[in-house]
Amino acid sequence: MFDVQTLLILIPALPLAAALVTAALGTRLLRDRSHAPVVAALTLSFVASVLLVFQLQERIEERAAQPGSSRSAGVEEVVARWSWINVPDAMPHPVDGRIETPGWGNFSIEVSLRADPLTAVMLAMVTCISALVAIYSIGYMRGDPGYWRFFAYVGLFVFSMTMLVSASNFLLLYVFWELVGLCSYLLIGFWYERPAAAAAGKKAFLVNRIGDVGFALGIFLIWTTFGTLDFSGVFQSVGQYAGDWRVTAICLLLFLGACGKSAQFPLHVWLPDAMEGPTPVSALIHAATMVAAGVYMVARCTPLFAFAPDAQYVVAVIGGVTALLGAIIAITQTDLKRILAYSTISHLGYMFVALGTCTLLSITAGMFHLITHAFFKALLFLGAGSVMYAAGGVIDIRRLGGLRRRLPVTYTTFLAGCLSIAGVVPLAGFWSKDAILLSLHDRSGLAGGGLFEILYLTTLLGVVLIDFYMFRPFFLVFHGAERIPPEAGDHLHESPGSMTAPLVVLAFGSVVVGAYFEWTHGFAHFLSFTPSFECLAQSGHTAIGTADKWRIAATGSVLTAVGIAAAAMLYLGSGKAVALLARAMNVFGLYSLSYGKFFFDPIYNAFVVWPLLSVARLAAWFDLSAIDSLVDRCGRIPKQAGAALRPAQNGLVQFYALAMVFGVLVLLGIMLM
Amino acid sequence: MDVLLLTSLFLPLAGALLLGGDRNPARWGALAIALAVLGIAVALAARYPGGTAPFASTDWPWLDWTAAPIDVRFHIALDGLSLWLFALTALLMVVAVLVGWEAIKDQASLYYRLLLVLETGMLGVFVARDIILFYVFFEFTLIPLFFLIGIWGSRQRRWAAMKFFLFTLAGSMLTFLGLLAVVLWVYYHPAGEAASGRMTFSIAELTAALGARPMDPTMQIWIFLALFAGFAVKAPLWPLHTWLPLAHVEAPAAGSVLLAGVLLKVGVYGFVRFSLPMLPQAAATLMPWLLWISLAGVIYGALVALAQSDIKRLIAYSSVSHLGFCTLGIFAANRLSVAGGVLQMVNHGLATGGLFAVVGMLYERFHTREIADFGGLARRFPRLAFFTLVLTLSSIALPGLAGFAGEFPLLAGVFQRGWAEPAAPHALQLRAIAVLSLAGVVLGAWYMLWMYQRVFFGPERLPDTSSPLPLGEGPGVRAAEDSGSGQWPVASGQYDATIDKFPISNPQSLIPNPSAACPHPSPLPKGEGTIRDLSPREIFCLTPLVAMIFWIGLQPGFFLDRMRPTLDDLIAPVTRACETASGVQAVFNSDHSTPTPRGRGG
Repeated sequence: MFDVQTLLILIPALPLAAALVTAALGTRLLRDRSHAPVVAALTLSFVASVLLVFQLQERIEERAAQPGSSRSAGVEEVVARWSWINVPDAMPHPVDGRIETPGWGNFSIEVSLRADPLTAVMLAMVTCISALVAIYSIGYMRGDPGYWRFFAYVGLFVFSMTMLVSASNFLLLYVFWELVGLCSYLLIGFWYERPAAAAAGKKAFLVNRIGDVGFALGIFLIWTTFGTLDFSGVFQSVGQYAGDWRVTAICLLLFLGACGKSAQFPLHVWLPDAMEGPTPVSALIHAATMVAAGVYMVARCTPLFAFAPDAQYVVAVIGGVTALLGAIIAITQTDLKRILAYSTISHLGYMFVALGTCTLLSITAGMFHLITHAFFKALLFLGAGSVMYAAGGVIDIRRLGGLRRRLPVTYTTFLAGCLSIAGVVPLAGFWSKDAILLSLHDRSGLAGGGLFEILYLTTLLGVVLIDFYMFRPFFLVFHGAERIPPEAGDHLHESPGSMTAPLVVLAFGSVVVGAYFEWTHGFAHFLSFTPSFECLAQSGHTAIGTADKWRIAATGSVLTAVGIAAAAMLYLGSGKAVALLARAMNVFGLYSLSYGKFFFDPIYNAFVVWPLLSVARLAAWFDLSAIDSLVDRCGRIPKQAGAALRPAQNGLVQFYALAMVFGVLVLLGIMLM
Repeated sequence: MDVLLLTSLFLPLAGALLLGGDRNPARWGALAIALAVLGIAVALAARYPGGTAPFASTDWPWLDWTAAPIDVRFHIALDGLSLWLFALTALLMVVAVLVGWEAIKDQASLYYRLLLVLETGMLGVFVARDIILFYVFFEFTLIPLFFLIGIWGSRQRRWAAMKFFLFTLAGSMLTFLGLLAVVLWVYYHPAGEAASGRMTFSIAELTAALGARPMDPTMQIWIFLALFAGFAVKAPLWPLHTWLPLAHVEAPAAGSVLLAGVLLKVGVYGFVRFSLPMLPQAAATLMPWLLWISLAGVIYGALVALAQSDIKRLIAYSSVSHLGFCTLGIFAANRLSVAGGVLQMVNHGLATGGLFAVVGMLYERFHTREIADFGGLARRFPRLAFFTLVLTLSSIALPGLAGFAGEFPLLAGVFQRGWAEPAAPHALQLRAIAVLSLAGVVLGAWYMLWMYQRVFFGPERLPDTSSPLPLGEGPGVRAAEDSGSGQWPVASGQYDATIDKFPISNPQSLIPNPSAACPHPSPLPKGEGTIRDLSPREIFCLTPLVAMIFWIGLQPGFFLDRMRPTLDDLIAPVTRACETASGVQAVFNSDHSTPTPRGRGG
């Protein structure tokens, strides 16, 4: 059987090999079989990830059987492949003799991968979703002139993403962080001839670059503070820096990077535009996996955040604001994919709220939500893709209606996704949402918990909004009178098997995965053996009473029911109630704000893009008119000097004689003096 | 004596003297010579042992008159600093020969001979181990490039050639004075008793002598500024950069490739070779100023690039920005930043050299370089799009490609200069510089990706190639221009005032709205059959660049390990000077005018 090291290398290596094969042979040999290598590789990667989880599970059981000093020792495994860069003794030792970790001051970056429970969970999720999405794409992308290109990009993406979650130092994490961004850029702009797609790709890359600058600054600060970029080295010595402003600064800078990648306020603006990409890409990259990289990164850096309470508050508040913002905007959008995009933003906000709460309970809850979200959001996106596929590319919910009889499989699976995301008992979304609420409530009982009480209430409000904004498009598209756009032609029918099969699998996952993890306690137990989370074992974790648990679950469920009922009343009934609601919302200007997406794009254009471009134009003008013309003027000095002196050489003998007399006089004067 | 290095140095010169005749023998001969030199460079790099000892050294007396104590030697060798720049030159030469393969039609043999002369000059700069020899090669590069730009350039080629030549020459005169001052100072202040009584011009000996007995700080600063004048113009540092966009835009593709790829590095090379090790105290004192200037170049270059409408000018300004990064690393003077800075010089040569080659290929096809004339080229020119994408991404430092491998250690080093303990004297300024320099990274991604988006993405829009060749292309046009007002601007005592005004009459036109312009795709150009994707020759020309970009990106350690010992030696004096400055301030809180080396190196 394969050992952990082999598996860890195989998981990213297979998609990379498939991507290279597809890129090399796609145009000539493979053509419309271009999906074969990638689908095969992703499936194998998924199998390998599951094996990896089992192997780690075995170790954990061994570990749990013999309680030792360190809970998670021996669970992780690091495999180094080659040294990327090595500058020994790059940094002088600190003068104050602070305790140094081994290898301090060596700028030594290894390409090394790490297997621990957190990584294993992410790997299993990423490979599972990506394999399903790749299978779905066989049907969805068929006939596209860039068929091979699509699968090559997807292979490259899965390689980068799996490397990202298994990287074992900050630099490697950054490398693949940027590479998944590149894949996102390429896939958003996949239909590059559409100006909107090309512009959206660039926008995504640039907004991410802003976040990445924060990330890079954080890494540089880590390097100058800890003298190493290795996860284990940094996390071991962070305790010596407790209370140091640099730890807080590092956390905030890293979080800026996470905001970019995970589309958190105020860097969320790229994600809705990213929907210009093919729908499977939206499902894979912009819902399930890449956008969760920010959440993964913050979870990975838990030891840093644990020592920076201020940074925890920032993460939690930004998460809460984003969760609410995304939900409010999603209510009034009319493009199904954009509704889902704002929903993703909102759900990522939930995860950050959980991470900012920074207890073992909350972080496992956040990661739990990441996994369940990956299932139901991928399902919803692929369902939306199935609708688009049937409706000739139309995705405006106002132009669709009553499709439930035409698209029975899509309808059923989409319903499962909606119920799951809404958090209806006992679907997956319920359990993870409930876990987040619980952990927030738990933290609000601790010191400085007032903020978390507010966040708890915010989250509850968000629950109502989620139900509403998800069931609104659901009822509009699948229920009511049949509306079929002309683009669909007269042959609107269910998608092929390669597309519906992944939908069914994902629907099954969205229904059961939460309950399974919750009842077996497998997920939280497994994850708690991550070495990075060891620092949390001591942190305050009050036992929550059973009554509290029931109360929170009941509150959540009642609010869910309220949200769904409201949507049903409004959108299954007549349109009058809708108009009434819109008018009621607009009393506070809320409707306009929501419909206009809080006007982030125009604001950024007016206050960032336009001023920068103006400065750029000014600089270009300055370069020519000031600097360069000064240079040219200097160049003319010799000529002008010559011209100024030229009259002296006028050829008049009398003038020369006069000049000579003056010269002699001056000389005489000097000599006499 | 090392035959290989000598051969590689003089083979191009010999070729330049012997080649002749028609276009075909000339270009094939030039290609053969360039490939031979590249082969030698690869062999030398493969045999390079690492460490600090000079490698492949040839040391002959050159000008040693018995009457005077002057001891100028013909001394060439490779070390860690010059190795990769030498190899880069050899590689880019092949690219340069291939990129003008079809475009250069008249006076082809002269063109290729000049290119070969230029190659000898460029290689010589990097291998010279004697100040006079260095300076000879340093100036020697100017002449062939002057003619390459002046004869085969585009519309304003003569003005550009003249400006380039005079600007650079003016700076390097001061540099020459500075170098002589160093020599004389060492001659009159021999270190220790072992005064030989001869005036040495050997770079190694001078560095050692100045290490043993440093110059007094004021003198150092004056000499530093003199050296700075020439090197900063070459690099080019802001605000001495304005010759660069002009020269780039007007130069033929090969000229741009070599100018960006190699010649800009000569200035930075001079800083590392001379300024830092010989005048460490001055470098330490002036460090904040030097870093601010570099930072200004980074951000200013990027901003101006953002506003360009001509691809070549955009890339030229991006060079200002990227060279600002290089000097930022060099002047921050610690192990990490200098290693990154020197590696970044190579990376910039590969990526920007390649981009200029790509622009040459575009120009050859469409006779325009205006971004607004293009659109959606990716569909019909997938190979061109692929190569450009890799070069673009390397240029914006995408991890996994070369640009990142240089930029990341570079910036880490700059940060270290600001934050590491003991705190540097100007720590706050240094921190601000380090943080602000990252703005260049964002702006860099912006202008490059925007350019790429406008040229390769969107609805297809091909320039109308049925119009006649623009001025400056093709012999007939040139003859007509020559018979008109085509005298050398300076020789005639006047130049057309409109010539040095760039066509920015309408600033709005600089930022075309990608979606608004040209609503429907233009009809296919007349000569559609002739406009194809990259030919095998062009692929052969770009492939080595892309391969090197991947290699450096994936395994920068291989390249750094070979250059690091030399670089560590070169910057050790500055590091000590900085440490002494801060250490003295921190520990003794008193002022020592003469630096004393401390035990802790590096």
